[in-house]
Amino acid sequence: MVSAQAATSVRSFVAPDTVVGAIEQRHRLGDTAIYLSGGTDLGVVMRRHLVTPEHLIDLSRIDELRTLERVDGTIVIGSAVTHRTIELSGLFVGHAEALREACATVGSVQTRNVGTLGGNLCNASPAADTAPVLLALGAVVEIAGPDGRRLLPIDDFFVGYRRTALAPGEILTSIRIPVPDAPRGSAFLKLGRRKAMEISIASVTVRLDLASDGTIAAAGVGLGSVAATPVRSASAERVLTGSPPGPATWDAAAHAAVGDCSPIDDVRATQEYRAAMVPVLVARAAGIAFGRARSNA
Amino acid sequence: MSHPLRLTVNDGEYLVIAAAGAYLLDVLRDDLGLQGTKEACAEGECGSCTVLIDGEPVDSCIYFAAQATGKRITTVEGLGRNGAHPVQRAFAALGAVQCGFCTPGFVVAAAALLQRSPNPGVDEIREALAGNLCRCTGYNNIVAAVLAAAGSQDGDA
Amino acid sequence: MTAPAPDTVGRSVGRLDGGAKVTGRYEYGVDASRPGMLWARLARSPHAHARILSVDTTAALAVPGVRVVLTGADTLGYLASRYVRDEPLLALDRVRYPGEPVAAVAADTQEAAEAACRLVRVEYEPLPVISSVEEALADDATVIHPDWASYWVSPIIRRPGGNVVSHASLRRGDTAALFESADHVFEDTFEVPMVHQASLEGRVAIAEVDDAGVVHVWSSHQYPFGLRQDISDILHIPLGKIRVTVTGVGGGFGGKLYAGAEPYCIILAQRTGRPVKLRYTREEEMIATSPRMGATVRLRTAVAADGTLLAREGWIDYDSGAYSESSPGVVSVGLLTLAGPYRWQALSIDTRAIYTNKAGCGSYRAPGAPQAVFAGESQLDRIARELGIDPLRLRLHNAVRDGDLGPTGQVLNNVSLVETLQAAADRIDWDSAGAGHLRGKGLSCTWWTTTGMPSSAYVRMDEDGTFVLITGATEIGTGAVTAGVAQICAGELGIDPADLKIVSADTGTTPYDFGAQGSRTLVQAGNAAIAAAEDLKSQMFDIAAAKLGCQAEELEMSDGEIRHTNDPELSLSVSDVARLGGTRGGLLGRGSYEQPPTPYDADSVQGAMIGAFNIPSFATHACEVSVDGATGEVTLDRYVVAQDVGRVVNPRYCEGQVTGGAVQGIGQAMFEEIIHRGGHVMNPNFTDYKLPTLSDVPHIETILVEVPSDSGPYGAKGVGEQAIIGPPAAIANAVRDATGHPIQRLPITAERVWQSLRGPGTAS
Repeated sequence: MVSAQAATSVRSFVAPDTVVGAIEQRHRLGDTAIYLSGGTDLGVVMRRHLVTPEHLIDLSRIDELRTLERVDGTIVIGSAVTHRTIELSGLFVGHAEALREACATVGSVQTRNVGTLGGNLCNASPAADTAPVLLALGAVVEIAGPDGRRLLPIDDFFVGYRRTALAPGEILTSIRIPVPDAPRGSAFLKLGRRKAMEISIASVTVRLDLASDGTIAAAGVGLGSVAATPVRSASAERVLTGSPPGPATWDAAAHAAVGDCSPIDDVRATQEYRAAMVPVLVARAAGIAFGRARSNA
Repeated sequence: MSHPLRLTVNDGEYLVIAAAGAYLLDVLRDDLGLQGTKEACAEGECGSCTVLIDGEPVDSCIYFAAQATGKRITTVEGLGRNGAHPVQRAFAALGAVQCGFCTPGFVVAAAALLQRSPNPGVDEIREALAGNLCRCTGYNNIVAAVLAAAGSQDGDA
Repeated sequence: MTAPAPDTVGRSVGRLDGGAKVTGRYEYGVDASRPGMLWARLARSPHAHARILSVDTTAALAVPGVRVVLTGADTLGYLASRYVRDEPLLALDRVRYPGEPVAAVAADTQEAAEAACRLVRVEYEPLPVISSVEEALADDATVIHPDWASYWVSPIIRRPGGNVVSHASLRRGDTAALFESADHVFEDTFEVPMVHQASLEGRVAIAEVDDAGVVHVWSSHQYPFGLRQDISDILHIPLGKIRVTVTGVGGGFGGKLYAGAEPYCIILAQRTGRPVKLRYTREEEMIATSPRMGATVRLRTAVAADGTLLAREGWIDYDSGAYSESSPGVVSVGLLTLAGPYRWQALSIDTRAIYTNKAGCGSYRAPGAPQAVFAGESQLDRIARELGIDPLRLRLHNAVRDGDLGPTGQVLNNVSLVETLQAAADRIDWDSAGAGHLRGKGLSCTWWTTTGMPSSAYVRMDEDGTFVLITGATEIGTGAVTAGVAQICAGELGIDPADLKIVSADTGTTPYDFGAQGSRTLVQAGNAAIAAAEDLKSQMFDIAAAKLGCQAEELEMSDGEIRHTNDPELSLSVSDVARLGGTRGGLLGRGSYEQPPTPYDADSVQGAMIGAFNIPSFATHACEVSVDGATGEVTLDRYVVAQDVGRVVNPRYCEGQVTGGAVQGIGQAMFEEIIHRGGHVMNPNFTDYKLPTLSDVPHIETILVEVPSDSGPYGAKGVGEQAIIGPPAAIANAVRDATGHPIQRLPITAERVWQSLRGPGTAS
């Protein structure tokens, strides 16, 4: 019997073992080719016939994209590292707890075993769990293309609704999270209809770096599901930076964050509810992040 | 466009001719006749199609067959082939099975859990199996069966 | 049938299909195939309401591998829906909901069939869309079925016309006088959206037609004999030329009680001469198959100052969708469940099913009840709160007891409501000090029926002494057949249930059964199996008595031996009897059971297909929640169900019905909702239609109460449906207890609770 419900648009499936090889394949196959990392997002939209590529280029067998290591002051995560690998890694303790938390809430164990950090970012859903985390952590992404490699702050990566700064043929190769010497704490909170297997109604990440005098030396605030793209709340970060830690500061930051989001109504929640939840989650995440920063000191 | 594909399923080697865009679930069911793995949502939300890839649970409905080449695939038919796996025995004995449509996905996911964590607590079981939906049992007996299979004494029953 | 129970009853023996299910060998409808089989697929309407101007199948037929494409013109006169034949197999002149089938394709592969469906060209002229009951009832509303007068209609149905499918009413006592004189009158309105059975295996069938025109259908179905009748009625095929064989069923919950995929398979098989399989995708399940009706429930209740319930007026408008399906039967259930298990001096209740431009609604576990009970039990808590009476005491004060009359005048016996109330309240520590800020407890009480109607069984003894139970009953997963009825039958035969073989649910080989519906299988098919076993035993005893030279009445059977009651030495093995049977085909015992209808005051109801609850049973749900005051998130900390099951046959599967039903009810209470916009389903997948996961529900604490019935096997009552009814009200009442704010619409999402916190509330 012919297999039943294959993605009929697909004519070829290739799995190169180097980044250069993948870029060459993409050049050869043209614009009907699409990169596949884990496929947990792509598989869904292809099942629904919303995306109909003719060629799939599987990036998950490229060793370089599967590395996870700390190099001096930077954690380098290959784009094909799975959510599950990050969830179970000890590398993020004391530096980027929020990323571990976010990865642990992506779908189910089954999803996390296959889905990758790079795939989550390139899918560019405003609800992508890891995107606001990386915004808050000030990550930098490395991109490889036909003309070589470039580094880009993640703030410049999400350019519109489900659109990224990747040019045709480019590959997101790694995500780099700078690790400061100062005590840092971060926290990720997500609101959904259920307690598991959820696409967020709203998600918030707060990252706090403490100065030696106990004030907040630097802060990052990322918001998910409240705008066309994952967004960073510069207003909340301004409130936090230089302020003394505590509930008054968290509340001020929380209210500042509201101005940086522009949520919509959909089947998961109303605009009104999303807007109201942002300050609640920002204040809570800030409190948790601060507690972690202190214990990381 | 069909292509030859070499797959290792339940320790056996198979050569199948499959569409380039074939999902692993459909190749298992339709080309290899391994119909124990089920489709219910076809978008990675219910776990009915769970198989193990190199020992870790994966939703085979949104996993391309070509992604599985060179990896070990284990389906419900390949669990405990010298008699039923302890998880299978516990599911049958303790009322964890009603209509049974979700059962293959559950027993495969639970077997992987016990491989990683031989004596999981209730919370760990609930978290590890949250990606498997059951519409019949209300889950009580599923948790009880996994605990029993683990030989754990700290049930919530 | 309250003879002493054999020792197999009351034990958690394993189910006979358990081994096949855990190893993946059990064959479901999706797994079945026939040689030379084609794949069917349906082309569906993108419009909620439109006139069809033309249909062109040329391009679809040109797809390689496509064997036939049928349209409404090929299926003239093929009308479905059991009580009002209002649903064409394929739309002819108009479509009435998004997803309505307009063409049926059979092709060599699923891909070809799907491609052809996309190429069926239909020209539509959109009509005004009725997207709610309110719009449907407007004076100038577009009539969705202008040709109603031409339909066959069940004679019980009453309707005023327009977009009303059917209207049932209940009148007992002088409500007007009681409302006039009552100390208090409470009035509330509640909203319940549609929810879906969401069985993990969707609808799937195969049909094959032989040269003589005999149709053989394999289907994942709950009621093969009903399906055979449906097929006969819809396609005008004589009953005797149809055989229905039930495959493994991957969940039913009422969603597989009517003809669904089967008629399409049959007409395509008739045209092609090939077996045809049709399997609905999850999206098709969600947009185009018989969910639970949504409802608007308004009720007024007259209460005395001491909390005595006096009279209730109620109105339920159920949203039937575009077709009647099972809604005419369900509206009568609304009469009984909106009254609830309480003593009333007067009742006046009107329930209607209303056409809208959504998929036609069907039966889902305890059809019609959760909508009514969410309203009635929520209002009881409001009454208790405002009168300063504890909700438990208010319920105990008004609960029906033995000898009371039900809402339509049936005499209630073996009533167990008070027992369940006390058991649930004790378990949840109801009287312990207030649970604390933003924590709360809630109760709800339910009553439900054990559907009657015929069941029949054969028990065959093969030539080696093996016993085979041949039953028309269907195992849909509950364990009612492969555990419960098997235990009963094996017990009566004195054998281990594991040694019993079962043949079931095939109209070609098994005797009639009214199907796996209405919580009836264990009770009715169990009684039939007892009768068949007794018939077989009497035949065996006659043979043994002749051989042993004694009277048949002096014999008993156990452990594979037939012995003289006073002289155990005088015995014969069952296998010897089998050989002496002389037929080499063994012996055949036959049994059937049909409960007499429950008497009630027929003058009190009009337009009701169901006027009373047969072998009614009772339950109380109790839960404890905590609420996040800032986000509205509700955590279900504890959930307790105390349910009367009459007599426990298999504790593990009996509890499994209660826990499974409760979690489905929790799903409806907290997560599940088919979201419509202009008739279109906005969440036709499991990503956005939220079923409860293991992380969302606590361990369900179950208390099985046993107040035996007069007619169930050893006192058993129906179990399967009841536990789904209680959760919405129990949880809403707990949330109100926690926050002081009422919840009057399901599901109880964080956002809805958050909104309620900003609205008017009462002191917590």
